[in-house]
Amino acid sequence: MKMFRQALIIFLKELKCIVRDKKTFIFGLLLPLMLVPSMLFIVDFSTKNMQGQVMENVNVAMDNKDNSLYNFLNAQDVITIIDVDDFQKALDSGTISAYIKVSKDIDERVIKKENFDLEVKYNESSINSVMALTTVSQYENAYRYLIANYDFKTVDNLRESIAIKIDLSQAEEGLPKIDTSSLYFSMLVPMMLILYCCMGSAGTAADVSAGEKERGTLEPLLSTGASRSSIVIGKLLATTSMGVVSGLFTVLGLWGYLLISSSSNMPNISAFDMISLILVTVFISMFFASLNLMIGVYSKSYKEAQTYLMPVSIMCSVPTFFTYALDVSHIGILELCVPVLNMICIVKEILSGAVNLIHLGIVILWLLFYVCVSLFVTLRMFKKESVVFRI
Amino acid sequence: MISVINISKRFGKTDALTDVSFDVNNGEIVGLLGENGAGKSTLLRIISTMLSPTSGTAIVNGYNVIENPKDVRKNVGILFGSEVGLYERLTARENIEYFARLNGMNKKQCDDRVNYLIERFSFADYADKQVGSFSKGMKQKIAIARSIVHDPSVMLFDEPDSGLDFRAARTVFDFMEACKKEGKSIIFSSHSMESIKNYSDRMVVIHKGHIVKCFDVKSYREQYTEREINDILFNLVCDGDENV
Repeated sequence: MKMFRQALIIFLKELKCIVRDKKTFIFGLLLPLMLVPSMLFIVDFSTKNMQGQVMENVNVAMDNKDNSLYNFLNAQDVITIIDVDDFQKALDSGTISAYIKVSKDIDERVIKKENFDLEVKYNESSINSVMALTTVSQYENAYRYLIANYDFKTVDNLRESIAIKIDLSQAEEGLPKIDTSSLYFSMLVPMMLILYCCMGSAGTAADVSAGEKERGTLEPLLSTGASRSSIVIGKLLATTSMGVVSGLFTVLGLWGYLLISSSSNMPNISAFDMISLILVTVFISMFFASLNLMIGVYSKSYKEAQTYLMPVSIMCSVPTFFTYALDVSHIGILELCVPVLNMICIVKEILSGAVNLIHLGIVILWLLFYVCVSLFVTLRMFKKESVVFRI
Repeated sequence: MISVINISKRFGKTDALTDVSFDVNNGEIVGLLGENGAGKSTLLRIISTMLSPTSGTAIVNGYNVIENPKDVRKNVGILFGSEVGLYERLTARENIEYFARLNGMNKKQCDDRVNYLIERFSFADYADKQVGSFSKGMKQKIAIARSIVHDPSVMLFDEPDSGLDFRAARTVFDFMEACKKEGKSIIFSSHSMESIKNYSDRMVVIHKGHIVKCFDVKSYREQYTEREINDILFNLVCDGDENV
């Protein structure tokens, strides 16, 4: 009981110091609040901008012009069909953005309601070409939708009737849309959240441990009646609070952006998902706080602590790239047991609206386990003279 | 009352202290004189229970530093010279209150004691200002107040005049004299011969972790001139190995 009372005194004192530090306020609270919305806004804006450019005009070439698909595409203002001798050279040089290859008997097959071959080639190294593929695919889907829903008696009737202009923005809901922003969203947000949960507590952890050694305040503190365990717990609570607040401000920034964003590209997050996200953020912050404090306690000075903490922050963002193409419906037990990777997996799962409560429980239990291990190691180190005094 | 009994301390392969023994009576100031790295701070850290001795022990007011470290800490106040160790974002009052609370005082006891110390050391004018902007002398006063907030009967001063101007140093030494009058046992470490000669009753000269001389300052002053005492001390520290 006495230990927790002392830990509370230390925690409250550390909080007071944090609140009075403007730098902590700006980097720990204001920046995470602004950073995620700013990045999402830029990504959303640039994606829309690129899409807009591609939507204005897409140069394509076709291997076979004597068919209904050519008539359909030719009727669209956005699509310009041009003649090229070598489609690969034209794609590489950017003369065309896509090359469409279709079965020669496409119209006969359409009349008979049979499948036909249709292949769209594009330049993978060109953003313009990739974006054009989206547009061409949307028109392809519109074409498929028309031929599936209307009866065409003859080839001539098909070629004539299908040459209509389609407004994709007003197209029926059945037309699929390729969503590039959500790809960025599912990668950026977990990364930013993990980074801020980690970095939010890093400064505080270094300050309350290594910083205390450097300023000469540790020795007077050790000479008081406070036990070493209460000192570590008090400092862990303060570090965790900062990490949690930083993480929650990141979530708050995300939530705020989703609320005010008019973008249809951004996914909807339900209240339940948001609560799950907050819960996970709290535990992730606790984990990083304990890890950062462990590093801070080991370090001789604030600078040395920063030297160790910076690579930790960077390493934490690396698994985000591995999970870029991760299908949230295929997250296995192995992914849920690997530190950091499991945090990213569960955040992605929550953001995709497919949160699995068993997965959530497994990750939270692992996080609690990591916190206990870090706390145990920190306490052991803090009781060692060679670490506290770095003799 | 402090009894240092055969204390040795080893850091890896280095012997920081070897078989150090001496006593400090109530109302007595014992000065620890030695060069940088002689082992003075290590000894004070052992007495204040921050470090454990490799062998030997110290008894502070009847409490053993190994067996009863918490009781020892209740009886010991420590003051550092070069680094006052204050929290710059807390006010002077909050700094002292923090240590009072950690030493087990309740709110009422804490308020009474802090107000008394603010009055005693005359810093009511800036008691509620953050200490970050204070001069070294002002900080030293607050550090002194903090070190005695739990009213310890033993005071340890680790190079208290280091880095201080004459006025701030005088504040520290006046406080040390006041502690002596209150009957506290005091150990005061320094590498300044003048400070040790002027303020200690007994002097323990420590060199490379060994006690090379322990003598009564008053009797030495009666036997030798200032210059002779300085020469004796200089030779002890410079040729300490020969005197062991």
